[in-house]
Amino acid sequence: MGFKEALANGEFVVTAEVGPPKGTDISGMVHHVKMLKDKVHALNVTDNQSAVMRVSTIAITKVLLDLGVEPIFQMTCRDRNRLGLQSDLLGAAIFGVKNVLALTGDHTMLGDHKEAKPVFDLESVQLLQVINQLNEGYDMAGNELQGKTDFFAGAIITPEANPLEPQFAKFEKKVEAGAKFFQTQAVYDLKKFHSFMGRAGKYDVPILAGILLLKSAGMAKYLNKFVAGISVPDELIQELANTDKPLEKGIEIAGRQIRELRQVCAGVHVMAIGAEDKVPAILEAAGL
Amino acid sequence: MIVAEPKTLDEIKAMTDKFDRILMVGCGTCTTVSLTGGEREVNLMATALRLARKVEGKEIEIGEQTILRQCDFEYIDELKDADSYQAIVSFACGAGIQGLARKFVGKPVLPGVNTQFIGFNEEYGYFTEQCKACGDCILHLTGGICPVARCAKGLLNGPCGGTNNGKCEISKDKDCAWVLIYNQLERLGNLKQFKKIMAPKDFSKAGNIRTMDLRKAGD
Amino acid sequence: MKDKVSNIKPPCVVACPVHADIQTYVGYIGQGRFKEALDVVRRRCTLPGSLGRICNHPCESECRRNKIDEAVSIRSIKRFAADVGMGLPHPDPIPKTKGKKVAIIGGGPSGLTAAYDLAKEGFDVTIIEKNDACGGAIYTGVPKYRLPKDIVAWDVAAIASLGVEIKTNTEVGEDISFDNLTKDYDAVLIAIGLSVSRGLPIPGADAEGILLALPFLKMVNFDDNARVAKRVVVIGGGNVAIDVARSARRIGAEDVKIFCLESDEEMPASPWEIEEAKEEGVQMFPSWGPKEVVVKDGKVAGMIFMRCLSVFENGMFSPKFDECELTQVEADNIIFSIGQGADVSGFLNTELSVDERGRIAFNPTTMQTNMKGVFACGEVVTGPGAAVGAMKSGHRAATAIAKYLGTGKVSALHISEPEAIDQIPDSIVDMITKLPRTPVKMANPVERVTNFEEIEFGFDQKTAMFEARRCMSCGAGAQIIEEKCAACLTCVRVCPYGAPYVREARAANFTLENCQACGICAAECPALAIDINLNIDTDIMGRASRSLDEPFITVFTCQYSVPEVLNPDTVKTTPPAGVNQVSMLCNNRIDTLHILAAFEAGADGVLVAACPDEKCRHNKGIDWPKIRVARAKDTLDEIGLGAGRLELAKVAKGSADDLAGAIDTFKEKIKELGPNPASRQLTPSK
Ligand SMILES: Cc1cc2nc3c(=O)[nH]c(=O)nc-3n(C[C@H](O)[C@H](O)[C@H](O)COP(=O)(O)OP(=O)(O)OC[C@H]3O[C@@H](n4cnc5c(N)ncnc54)[C@H](O)[C@@H]3O)c2cc1C
Ligand code: SF4
Ligand code: SF4
Ligand code: SF4
Ligand code: SF4
Repeated sequence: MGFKEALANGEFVVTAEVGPPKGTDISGMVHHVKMLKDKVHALNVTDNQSAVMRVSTIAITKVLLDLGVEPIFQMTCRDRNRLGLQSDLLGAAIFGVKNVLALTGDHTMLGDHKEAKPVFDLESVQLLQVINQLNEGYDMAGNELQGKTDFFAGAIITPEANPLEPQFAKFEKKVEAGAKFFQTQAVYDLKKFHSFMGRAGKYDVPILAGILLLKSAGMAKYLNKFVAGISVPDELIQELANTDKPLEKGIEIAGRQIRELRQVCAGVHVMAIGAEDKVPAILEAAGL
Repeated sequence: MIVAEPKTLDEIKAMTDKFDRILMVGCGTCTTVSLTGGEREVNLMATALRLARKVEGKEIEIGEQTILRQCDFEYIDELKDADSYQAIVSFACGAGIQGLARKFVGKPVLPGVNTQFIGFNEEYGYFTEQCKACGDCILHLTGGICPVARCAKGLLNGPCGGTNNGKCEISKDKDCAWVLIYNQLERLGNLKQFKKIMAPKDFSKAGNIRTMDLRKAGD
Repeated sequence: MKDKVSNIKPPCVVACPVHADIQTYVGYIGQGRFKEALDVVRRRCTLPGSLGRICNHPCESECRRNKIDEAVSIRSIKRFAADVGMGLPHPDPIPKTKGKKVAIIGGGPSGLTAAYDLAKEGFDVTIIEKNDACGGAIYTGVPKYRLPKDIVAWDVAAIASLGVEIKTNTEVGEDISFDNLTKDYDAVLIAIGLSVSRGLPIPGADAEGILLALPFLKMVNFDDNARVAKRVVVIGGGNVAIDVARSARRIGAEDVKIFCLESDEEMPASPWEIEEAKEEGVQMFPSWGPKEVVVKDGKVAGMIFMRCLSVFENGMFSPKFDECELTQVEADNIIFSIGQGADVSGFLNTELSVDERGRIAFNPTTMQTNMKGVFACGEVVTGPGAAVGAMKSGHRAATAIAKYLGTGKVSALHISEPEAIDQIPDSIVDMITKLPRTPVKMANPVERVTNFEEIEFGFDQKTAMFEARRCMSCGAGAQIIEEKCAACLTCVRVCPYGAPYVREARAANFTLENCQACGICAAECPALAIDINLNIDTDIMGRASRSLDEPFITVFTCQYSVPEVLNPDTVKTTPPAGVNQVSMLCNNRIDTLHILAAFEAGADGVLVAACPDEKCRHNKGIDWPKIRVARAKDTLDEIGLGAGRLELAKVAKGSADDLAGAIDTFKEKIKELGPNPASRQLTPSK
């Protein structure tokens, strides 16, 4: 069953992500994709993630489709103006891409081509509107398309953003702009996530909670210190610190959290940056 | 005001390498106020260049003059003996530099500063960018805080996911414009404005060879 | 609050009757530029050695430092300038370019001052003086313990050296006739002062033992064997009475009493004079009027006084007595010190209109008498006062005469009086560093009454410079060049004292009262639109750009930090070899441009000597030299000269050794770096 349908059926949906490599050798990535193939509903394909230049997202979505995996096309506004964005969307539609995650994108200053001219002609909310317009058969300028798209567009939200209010208002705008599902930034404090869902749940859009594998106490502290919108509670850090097998502990924690989240939201989006091979273990720990 | 940053001596030295008689021209308006292109900076750069050239054993003669503005021909006309120099280094913004280039056709006119932005003078020696001259001002919608200039991505519909504790993802020293806007709109009791989706900006108003013509056609 | 630099001057200058440019010369002393200081003093205060000792210094009462701590010791600083000058040659003669001759009758302070001004203008001036030397009352009257005669002689010689001819021992009316003078000279100035003492028409006033002040003082001054009796009563409450009493103590009187009509508070004598007299054992008896002399055998035996109830009525001298309250004192000598009058005998029966009481017909707006080309000045027309007042009158007369001789016409003088800037605003009083006044050393009273040695010791170089640095350079700080100002507000932002503001006129302006002349703004103004009046840029630049014939370093010193000076312009110290010193009012004013200028002039290194952080006169001002040195270091690296050729040295306040040490260390370092590579190519200076 497809991603969209699974959500519509109220299944607990699982997504994970693959990062296009830097270079033309995709063998490693293909290996991961095969490993996850039957364990997830869809795989996100990132777009020059963290503003680091990689293989184009469209090409990789095509690779996934050929491997029989449903891709979620992550599209950022950093590297293309409105012409580029629309034409890539049309291209992706031709390949058979169904799901698009509309993102603003990290600033070029954070990546490996700091001197690049960042585009940001549009941003996530506007991109969602554009996608809907393409679905209706029109481009941004109002020109009719020869053949429209049928995208299932989603967006992201950071439940633990500080301050939350402007983020939440933007979440509402994304819903209004046509986001049909949300994937979240990694959540760890489930109590807080509960209360976030108390508000977000009112908007009849499925939300997939972000699960990011903690590999060590050090990583947890790093995330707390440097990554916007992530806060790992002290208890979890303690748990990781008190074991001599932190990676296994991390998998256990992730599994435990997924189990708990089944009651709370529509699914999970599992991220395991650099440890994609551990995703099956996490899902196993979660009883999925 | 237009804020400019001084070019390094090395850059100016390289630009003027083949000359031994140049004129440095300061601008008495914006770049004076931004402390980079007034009489003082011209004097400083001229002295430094003279010294640097002496160190290399290639002396250079440098004329110095500062005029009120370099973006008006009438003021540029005050440069009397500019023709007698081999090249001119201008310490005005890009407009002024080009003004000199247009006036002294056939003479190399070189930039003495890097024009930076339209800015606000926060305190002594500290300037912040405030406006991108987008040509379609939306400050009435954003609580008087410009997201085009002050949000690193120029977003129009709220903060990106990189916002952290009110700071921008590109630097902990920079405020997230959208948090400022949110707070200000809240203060103004106008959060509903925040919640309205803002359409993509009309960049045709900014990206062209812009002119402004206030001349009335005669009857 | 004043903001226009028109004729606005510091209050000291305004209070000074001759408006001497006090802050300029005080500033020069602070910088160790002693000769320049003396030149400035002389322009208005023509007798610096004498006035440096005896001036009643109204300037000090108005000094704005009074609101912070105490007045600057202006008079003693002036004395120091003169004392230094005594080791120098007198000024050069002035060519007599005007072809007009002026005779000045009387070589007192007023006549000498007029002579100075007229000689400077190129007139041929002759002073005719009846005494054996010039100086007037400060020569014949003022006692030696306050003003040694050689000092007066030095002052007079300096004026004579301009080319003024002085005919001493020549009395008009006696040795030479007034009529001849008016014939032989193009203009004549009467400056004969008040040379006769008044007596009192009371019973017994002709007894033996009654003396008059002026003849008594003349005797004391010129007769080494002068003596008085043991018990002396002095009558009068002015400075002359005090001089008489204190002189009497020095020539044998053990019991000296001063009786005067005025009450304690009303006594016209200067408070410090009264104080010093009391230290010397002189007793004061205010509010007593002389009734009669007690005479025994034709000789003075004592005096009876009646209570004086009041001296003035509606501002007029009109003493009221209570004849019932009497007192009697015993005395062997009574000295009347109750006023002086003019001796106009030489002018009677001439065309000059003069009455028996010595009053010469005189128009103060033209300084002319009833005779065309005959002018008058000094106490003979102004009445008694202080020497500096007589000098003011002398300046006016010189101006009037120069005008008359230039135009052939007599016209009213229009000399605009300066206006004083206001006192320090309350808002910044606490921001100004307190610096206690340096006391002037005095001889011990017990010893000093035994002789006529000078009782006051002048400042030495260090104390003079230190004291001079207390001056706040009132109103002589920032000055705007309006047409250059870009209204950028930099000055407004950097000034620690809130002096600059930008007016509607869109140019910066400075509240004179706030400005402390630190110079911070001037060195930051991007338009070079600010100068510091007392520390002007062209002057600093000129000295920064000086190159020596030998390898050298340039050292910028702050006058607030380094007392001893290595300045070639000073008299007492010579600069160490290979050092070009640029002394500034305050190092907060140092400009990156000054530093680069020194390198352009060929300096191998530049040392900026500044105060230790906590000693900075201008609070956190010390950050500025640091910032500018840091900027200049970056530029030097870029230039290829290397940042190592520039250093900021912290020199402890008051320590010349510190500076010398810093210079030596720095020179060593520079020696290692070798000569300034930018000066190698320089063509040798002509
Ligand atoms: C005892 C005493 C103490 C003083 N102490 C101080 C003090 O501490 N501080 C201070 O500021 N002031 C002091 N003064 C006042 C000061 O001395 C006078 O203000 C000043 O000297 C006046 O100058 P002048 O030029 O008007 O007259 P004078 O000084 O009186 O000079 C007039 C000159 O004219 C000469 N002269 C007069 N008639 C003739 C003639 N017919 N022919 C030729 N020459 C003639 C006289 O010999 C004399 O030299 C003191 C005065 C006295 C008497
Ligand atoms: S919206 Fe445009 S015109 Fe207005 S301040 Fe921002 S950049 Fe300038
Ligand atoms: S501080 Fe200096 S300038 Fe100011 S009143 Fe005193 S002596 Fe004059
Ligand atoms: S710093 Fe200079 S240009 Fe700026 S306001 Fe002051 S005087 Fe004018
Ligand atoms: S910065 Fe200093 S010199 Fe300038 S106005 Fe202020 S006190 Fe005066």
